[in-house]
Amino acid sequence: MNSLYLLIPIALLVTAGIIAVLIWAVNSGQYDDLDKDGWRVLMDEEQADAPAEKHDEHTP
Amino acid sequence: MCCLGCKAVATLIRDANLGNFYSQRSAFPPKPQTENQTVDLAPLQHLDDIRVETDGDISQISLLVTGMNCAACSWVIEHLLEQIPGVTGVKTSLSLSRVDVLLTADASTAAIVKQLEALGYGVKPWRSDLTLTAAREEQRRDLRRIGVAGIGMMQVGMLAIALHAGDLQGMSTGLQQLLRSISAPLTLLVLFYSGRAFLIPAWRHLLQGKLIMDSSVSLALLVATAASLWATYTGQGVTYYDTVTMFIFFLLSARFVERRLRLSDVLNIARLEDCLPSRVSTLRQRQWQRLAHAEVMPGDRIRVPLGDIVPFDSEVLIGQSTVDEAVLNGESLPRTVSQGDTVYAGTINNDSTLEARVIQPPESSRLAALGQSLQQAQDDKTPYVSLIDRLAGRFVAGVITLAAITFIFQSLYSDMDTALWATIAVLVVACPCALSIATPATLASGNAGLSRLGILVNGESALLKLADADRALIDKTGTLTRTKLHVDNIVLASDESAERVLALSAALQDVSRHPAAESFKGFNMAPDVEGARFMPGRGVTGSLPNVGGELRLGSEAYCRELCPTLPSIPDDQQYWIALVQDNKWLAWIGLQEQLIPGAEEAVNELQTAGLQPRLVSGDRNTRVKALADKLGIPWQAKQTPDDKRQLITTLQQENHQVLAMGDGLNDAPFLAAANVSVAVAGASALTRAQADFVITTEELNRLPKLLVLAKRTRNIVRQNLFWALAYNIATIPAAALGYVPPWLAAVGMSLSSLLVLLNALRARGVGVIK
Repeated sequence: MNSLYLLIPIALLVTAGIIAVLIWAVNSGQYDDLDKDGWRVLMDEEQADAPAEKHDEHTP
Repeated sequence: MCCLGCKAVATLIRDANLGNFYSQRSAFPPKPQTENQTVDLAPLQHLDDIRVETDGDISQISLLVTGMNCAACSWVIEHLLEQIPGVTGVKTSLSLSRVDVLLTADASTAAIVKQLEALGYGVKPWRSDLTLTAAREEQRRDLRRIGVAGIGMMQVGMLAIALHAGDLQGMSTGLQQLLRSISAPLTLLVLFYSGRAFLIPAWRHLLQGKLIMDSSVSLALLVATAASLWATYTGQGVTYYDTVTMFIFFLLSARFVERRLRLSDVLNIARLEDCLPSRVSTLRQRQWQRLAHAEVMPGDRIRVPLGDIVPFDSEVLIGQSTVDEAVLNGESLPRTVSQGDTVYAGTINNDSTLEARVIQPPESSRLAALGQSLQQAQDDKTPYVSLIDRLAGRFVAGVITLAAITFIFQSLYSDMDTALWATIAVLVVACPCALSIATPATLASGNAGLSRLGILVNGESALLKLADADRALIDKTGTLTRTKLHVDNIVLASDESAERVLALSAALQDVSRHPAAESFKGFNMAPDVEGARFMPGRGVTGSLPNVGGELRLGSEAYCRELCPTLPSIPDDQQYWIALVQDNKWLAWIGLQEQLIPGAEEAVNELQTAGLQPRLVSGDRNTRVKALADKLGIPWQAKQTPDDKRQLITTLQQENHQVLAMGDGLNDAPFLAAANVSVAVAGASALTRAQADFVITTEELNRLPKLLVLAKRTRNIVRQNLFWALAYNIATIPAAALGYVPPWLAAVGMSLSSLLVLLNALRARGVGVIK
């Protein structure tokens, strides 16, 4: 029971911290485009293969 | 490829190894301008003024780029710009149409602009567009609210589990007080930060004397929170902190997902001015200069190259050509113009360069009139009010009545304390969680199904509006028929063969830029035709050196000049051109617009659904009648955009819900005025922005499936609403009698929401779409 008097405030601090980070992330525009970034990961994967191959062909 | 410009763009993209663009794009990129290669860079230098020094010798330039319609576009832009020497970084923001480029001091701004314009995007210095900024701010605000609600919910939830366990197993009062006291501020945070999404609209409507579903939600939330605070303060009674936070989180999430169904707000800034070229060759001080569109004045002399869009309403001074006016009237066949004729802004100059004098400023052009018609349609449109908001008044009244009854009975049969808590339980349990989630969740699901059909949706309630439609008006050219013509019929002179006639025609039409030339592309060309020349507005001429003699293929008047014995035109149903050789008549060739595959099915489906489809078109009587008879539907021809809009208004005054289908820019007011609208592939950005649905493939056979999906979605919404309401009604008596402890209220709310969500998944239409 006594431990709760310590743990609960810590939990609240952590919660406050998380909320602060979340609000910062949203305000700095990281969530503005919910489609492009998730999509970009896939696109750049395929793209990374093609140029790499081209280089291999030319190096003797 | 529709033109050389697009081919150049495709080559550019392929050469830069970015071919994936075509497989990944989900919207059409803009059509590029075919500009003369000597682009005057001087006007572009002023963009250097907006360069901003960041750190070191890296500066940044912010551009407003119009035409970025989907994520693939922003990807292509980023990659291509990064390849320009001097560019160190590119950041795009689709929602704002903004491109930020970081460059070194010696990098050329002009190169960046040229690259973007070569792809067909419009480039201007970035300005904060209020609509876009507002939309972005709204999304950010929603995300902040959901985030806080979610985190608060989890924290409060943990404490609540402990408290509920305490209710069942026994917990010391001190501990219970501690946990409750921590839950209180968290809940208040969630209620007054995230919950404002309901509280504020409810309050505003209340001031106007109206009730919406949010009013009921707000009532429940406020009562529950107040009761919980009282219980915490007095150390007795029950608390509902977890119910409050959970509810706020669920509902905000459901609404957010639903709101994301709006087509990229980028399209909403599509303006008529985007259809016009950004630079115009103008004669100033005896020199031809490429000025920005805004710098050209009435009275200026301009040059409109072959294939370009006419920038202003002007009078032709030099040159003879044909103009494609589909933008204004939907007609597929171009009009011949020469000195003294007027050409209109937004139309396409098909045949040869024209020099003209500007006679109207942009705001007085016919195109602008179209824009005003569109604005009018949008302003007159009554907004769609959802079913639950219409019932909200009665719902709230019902809940308050039941609560009052509970209070009265309970206070008579037991003590005041029980009565109070029972009444509060009724108000909490009556909270329309499932009811409020029902519609957004089902629509989100239904719309996900649509994307698999290749149909884009603009707006949350589109599917419901479609299900309610009971009359349909369909445009002809471009919507039901392809704008291209094909050879449909040949009337031959007695001794001629069809193959020979087609071969001669194909050889002649090879040099023509008239839309009719497309019809002959597939045929073998007669090898003995030489010297084919295109005569704008008349036809094509060539010669047969072997046998001597002149060939002509074209309009009746043109051919009759050479061959007076040409029989008269067979009928006025198709577009006929004649083929003559000297004074001998060879054939009449009839060209017809082709029906888009699936058009007949789509129209039949509309009829079966009872929508009484009608064909409305700007084209001539004969052709419209021919098509309408073939499809078996009534028709109306020679309709201007305003006429079409009027047809809709008339139907609406008779209390019908009208569905409109179209494609061209001239259809934008028509689509905007309808209750629900569908734009087909290839429609201009402005038209697509007006439409509720955009069918991205060319086949119209998606339309019947869309109708089925719409009806199914509406049925599921009704089921969900029914179930949610039934749940509320069933649990209220239990709560009134005091049988619903807080944990049961929370569980009940979660379960009913889950059921609604699972049912909503059925709206994806897995069975409908094969």
